[in-house]
Amino acid sequence: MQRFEPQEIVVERGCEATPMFSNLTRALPHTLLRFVDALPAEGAATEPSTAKFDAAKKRLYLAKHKGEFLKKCPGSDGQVCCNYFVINFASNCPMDCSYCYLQEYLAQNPALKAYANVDDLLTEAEQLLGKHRRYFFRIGTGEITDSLALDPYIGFTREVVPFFAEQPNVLLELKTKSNCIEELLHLDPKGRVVVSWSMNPQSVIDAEEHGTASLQERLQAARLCQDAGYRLGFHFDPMVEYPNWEHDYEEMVERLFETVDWKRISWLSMGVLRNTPGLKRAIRERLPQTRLITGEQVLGPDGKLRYFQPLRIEMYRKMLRWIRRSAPTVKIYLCMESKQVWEQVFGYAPSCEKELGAQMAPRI
Amino acid sequence: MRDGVAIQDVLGSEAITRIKTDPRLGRADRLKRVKDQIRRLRFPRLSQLEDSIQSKIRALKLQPNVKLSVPPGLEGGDLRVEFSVGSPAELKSVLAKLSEASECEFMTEIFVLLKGDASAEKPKPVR
Repeated sequence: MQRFEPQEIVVERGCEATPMFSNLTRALPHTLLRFVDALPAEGAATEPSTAKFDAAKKRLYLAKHKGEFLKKCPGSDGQVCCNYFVINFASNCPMDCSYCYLQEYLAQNPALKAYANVDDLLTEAEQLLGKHRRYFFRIGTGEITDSLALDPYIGFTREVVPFFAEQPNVLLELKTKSNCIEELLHLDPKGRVVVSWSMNPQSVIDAEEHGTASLQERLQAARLCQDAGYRLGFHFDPMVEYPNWEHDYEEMVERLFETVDWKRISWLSMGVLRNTPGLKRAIRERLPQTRLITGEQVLGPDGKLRYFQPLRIEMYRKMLRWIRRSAPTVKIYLCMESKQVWEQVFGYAPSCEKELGAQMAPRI
Repeated sequence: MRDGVAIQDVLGSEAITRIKTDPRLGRADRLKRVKDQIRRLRFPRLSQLEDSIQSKIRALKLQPNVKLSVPPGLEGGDLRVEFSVGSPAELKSVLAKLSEASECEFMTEIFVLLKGDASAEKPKPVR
């Protein structure tokens, strides 16, 4: 995996006394540090551009988050949702996947930021979880950043894992394409933390997942996390269709189950490549050579382009067959798919998001 | 890019040249057919599937006042049935014909095509 080496760290005044600041200065002692009274305003003046997005990944801002940390995952209109909450402890990502939706989502505000006021985050989480002990929560940190790619520099997991490990009604999911698990190996998750990987064959990683860990590195990291007591998750998402994709994906699934114990897996998900027309334009502009958007994608009712339905049903069924061969009862769900697709793939569809969320919960 | 063909080669292909030089077509029809041909090149498997479904719909030999159609891009996987009738007798006739069509193997095949690869084994539900 490519090491993160920002050209500059910009620190908002007031963050100097935080553990994140100490961790950063210790991990990147030679990187230029600059202090500012306030971060540039969000969505400020300049037009979004590919150059701006590229440049944003080379400068790390350390700031205080002003709003709420915890949010309900927005899902996608009309699609079956898995009732998930997200914590945005950082914004943007040091890695650079061709299909990344942040290219559109953060186009106006692409600054790579880590939020230093983790104590506020934990207070907010404590209030939510404490107030609703009867409910079970799945919370993830990988919606608008990678959960672990910055961890060797900011030490975020060292601050949050001990807290979530003590909560009786939550699973914290750390979703990543990295192998930055060193910090995790020194912590006791007490069964409350799922470390999950986005998975693709090495050919897709080489072509489209720039700066991420190789498939072998991800598998090795998963094995180490399993041995350290973490639950595991794997997301076959986005699945990319190309000539001979079946061979590559089947082999990847086989390698996965040769490496980890499927009984330690909390969930697997599948989702095909999807993008809005706006993201497609951004990809074409930033990465004109990628073949990613040349597949047979059609516009769905939720405004996203996906492979046409019979093709993606076929892809899901094949993946499911390869997975079930090794892991006959592992929990699998589809991400951002309609009830019709669920029916065709699994033979049933959850009646509501609470049902799907509840299916993930009882394996504690 | 995907097929390694330059844009000028696509526009100069035999199929498109034939449309462009067909004297029976007006400007609007010519444009529509060129766009359709380009869509076929861009979405070869989807187009093939849509053609297969259309040929099976034709094979059902329904009355002209009955229209069967599939959603754009086959999203949703449903078959849409539309008809208009002018009398109770005509309604009875259309329903009888549709009932007969629902038993026909072409109808089964249409749904198989809409629901994905028939050769892929559908797994048993595991909740």
